[in-house]
Amino acid sequence: MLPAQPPRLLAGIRIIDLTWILVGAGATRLLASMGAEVIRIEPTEARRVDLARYVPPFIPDTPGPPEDPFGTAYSVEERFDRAGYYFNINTGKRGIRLNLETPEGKALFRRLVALGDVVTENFSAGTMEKWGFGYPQLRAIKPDIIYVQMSGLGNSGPQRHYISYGPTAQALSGLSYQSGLPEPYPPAGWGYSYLDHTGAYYGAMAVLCALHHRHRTGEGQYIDLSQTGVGLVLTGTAILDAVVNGRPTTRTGNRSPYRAAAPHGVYPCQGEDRWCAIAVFDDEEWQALCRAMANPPWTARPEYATLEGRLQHQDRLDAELASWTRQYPAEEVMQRLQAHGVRAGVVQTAADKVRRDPQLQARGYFVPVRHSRFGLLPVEGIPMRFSRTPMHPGGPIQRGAPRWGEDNDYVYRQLLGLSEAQVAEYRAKGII
Amino acid sequence: MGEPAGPLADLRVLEIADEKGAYCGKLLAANGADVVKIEPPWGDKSRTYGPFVHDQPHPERSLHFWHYNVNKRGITLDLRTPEGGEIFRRLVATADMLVDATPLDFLRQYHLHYEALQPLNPRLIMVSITPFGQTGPYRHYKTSDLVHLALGGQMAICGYDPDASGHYDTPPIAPQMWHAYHMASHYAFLGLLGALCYRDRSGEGQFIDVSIHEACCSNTEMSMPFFMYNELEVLRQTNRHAFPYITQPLSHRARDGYYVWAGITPGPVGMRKAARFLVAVGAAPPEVLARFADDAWADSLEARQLLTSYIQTYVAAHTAEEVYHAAQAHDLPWGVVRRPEDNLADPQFQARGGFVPIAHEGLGELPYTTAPWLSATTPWRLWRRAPTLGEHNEEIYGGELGMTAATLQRLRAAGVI
Repeated sequence: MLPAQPPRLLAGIRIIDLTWILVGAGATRLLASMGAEVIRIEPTEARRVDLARYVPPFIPDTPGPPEDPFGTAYSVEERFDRAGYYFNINTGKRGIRLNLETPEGKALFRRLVALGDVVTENFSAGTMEKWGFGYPQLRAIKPDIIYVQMSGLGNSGPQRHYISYGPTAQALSGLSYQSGLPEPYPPAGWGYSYLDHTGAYYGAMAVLCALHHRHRTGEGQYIDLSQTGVGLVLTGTAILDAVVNGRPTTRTGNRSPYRAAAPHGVYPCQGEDRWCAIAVFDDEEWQALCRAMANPPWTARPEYATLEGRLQHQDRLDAELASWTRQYPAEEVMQRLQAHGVRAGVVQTAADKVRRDPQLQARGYFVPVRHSRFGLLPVEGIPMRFSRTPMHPGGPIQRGAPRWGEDNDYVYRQLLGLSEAQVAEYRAKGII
Repeated sequence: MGEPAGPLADLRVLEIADEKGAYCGKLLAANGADVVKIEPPWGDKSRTYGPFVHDQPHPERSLHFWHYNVNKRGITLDLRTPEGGEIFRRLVATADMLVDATPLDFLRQYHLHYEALQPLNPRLIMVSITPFGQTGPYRHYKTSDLVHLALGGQMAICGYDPDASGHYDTPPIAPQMWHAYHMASHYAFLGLLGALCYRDRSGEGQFIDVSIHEACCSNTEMSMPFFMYNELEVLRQTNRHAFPYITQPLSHRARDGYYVWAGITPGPVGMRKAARFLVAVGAAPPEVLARFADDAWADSLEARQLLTSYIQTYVAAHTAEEVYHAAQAHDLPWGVVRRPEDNLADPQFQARGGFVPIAHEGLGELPYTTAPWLSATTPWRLWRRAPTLGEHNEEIYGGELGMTAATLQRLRAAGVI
């Protein structure tokens, strides 16, 4: 493997980062992996620290499944160091402690903003104003500051004070309703915070757009991002369908609602809860599928020869196809079908992705970064390769996520020029 | 126009992309870039995707195409012909960015790949969006939205609860609706913008290789750290996070048939907040609060089960919207599982300009979803419907490249445009 090269797409950009959990912190992860110096500010009071430092999984001392997966025996500080979800999201960032409730803490924050290009946060609406750091105040400190605020429903409108996690935003925006088997099944929704990931992308996009604008004009700006608004944008086709055709949204399971296809779904394979997805859009692809299966007798039914016929008899077709896939491991079904040019893919679990995905392995998808206490640990990589200036999850500092307050010395002594005695005093007073 | 321009208003973008990359082009166009979509003379494949206006399939009636190509200009060009390739090179010389979602090696076959284009325009930033990226053993494999959501890990963690014995009698579910390509297009946009910031400093363009597979893989939240650090697999569960064990249900059916997602923040503080709300609305007896005062008990499974039963009963007796607003008034992050179209009447989205009317001949103005972020300086703007096939051929080939009417006529007759 090539030695890692620190990323430099955003070299020289400094982000004063007050984000937490995923929707905010994911945005600055992307920016750090582009080479921005991200300084993550965390509270000095343990109980106010990012929820992501409290939740499992916890990094064990020895690899493998831990005896106590939920870390019930760990002290709070031990949890902060070991939090794996946090480690994966905050890689490449620096981290400091700062108590923004105190006058001294506010003064330090002002000095940091003056050195920053971007301020990011995802508190509930009104939090920054309460501390005296709304956009007008930030701008008074640094006239061209870019201030990106990421909240659940946005910082304007009658429901600006409502709070939302990923699943809330997925529900409200309509994305959860669209996922699942037809009535009478309830919505299946999303088994994770899709709109935390995706909200984070838009947070990073907004920063990048604003950086380009600042480059052209010298102007900073205030950006008010709404996580539910991100979800809404992704439902546009369903909105048009409802307005133009008067059609209420319905769920279609794993069938293909907008591009005619049959068979189209997941098919059970050998073993417990193992599946392979198969998508056949036209008759040529159907014939390829038949060849890949060595033409079992049922494939000869004349009604299956055309897409229209297959769509009409989808239930029976699905059952017959399942009777074939059931005989083989999911990986074998995928490889046999792909060898014949049929669109097929294993329903991969996390273990499949980490251990059994030759494509991810060949592309070096999982990247080791250094935890200051536990050494090299893998994090999820970047789904793009740059010909000139690669991204890297280790960021400009080529390190994993910070321990709580790990970079206090770098920031307070080196950047702000505080003396050792001042740092010790602030530390003792619970300011940093 | 009097309104502020988007942040990318100085950029010209060429797009040769079907559903895999059209959304990237749309994001650029919504932020002010001049995005020129290049389609083959017979039209982009995604014009054949539904839904269609009044359910009549036709290349100019695809609502899918409209949503993903709003704001763009459109021209036709057969890149496989020598003259088409020549015209493409002239266009590339005028462009800041190229969004490419053609099949792997298609452009190389006609000598229109990045290395061939770069000398014409060293400032060019090009992104290629392909199923698996430019390298690796799967790079020639065939995929679809569904197949990507299977391989990426979405399906394994989305679906319904297993039965009491832990056996799944329902399949994993793909939250389809083109999300695999949303994920890829989001990354492609991020890559282009990162490279733009670099070009702003250095003057240099570059090539970006986006893998749809990896884009999906990187979007499955806690399933990955659980396995990377603990070798634990998570279990899919109905409309809530997949987790190493089966947790209490969080979605409850309301009186009006809608579901409410009623999540509680982990830990005693979140549990107490929910308990106080339930007492305040008369859904739980006041004496229950004394039990929740104890941190250890408030964080227990028994406490969760008790709250869940109160919530279930409460939600069933009210409409979903009533529950939503009442819970939010108590700082609970609950939400209605709405149909997308329910939001047309939502006061919050209306207050924030979530829908922009765009005129369509014969249909009047249609609401397009917009504005995930608000900015007074460089706002998102949608103002022009998606192009009809070749709508801007004359404007671009004639007006901008200076081709004569006779040349256009000849190119049209020869099937080049």
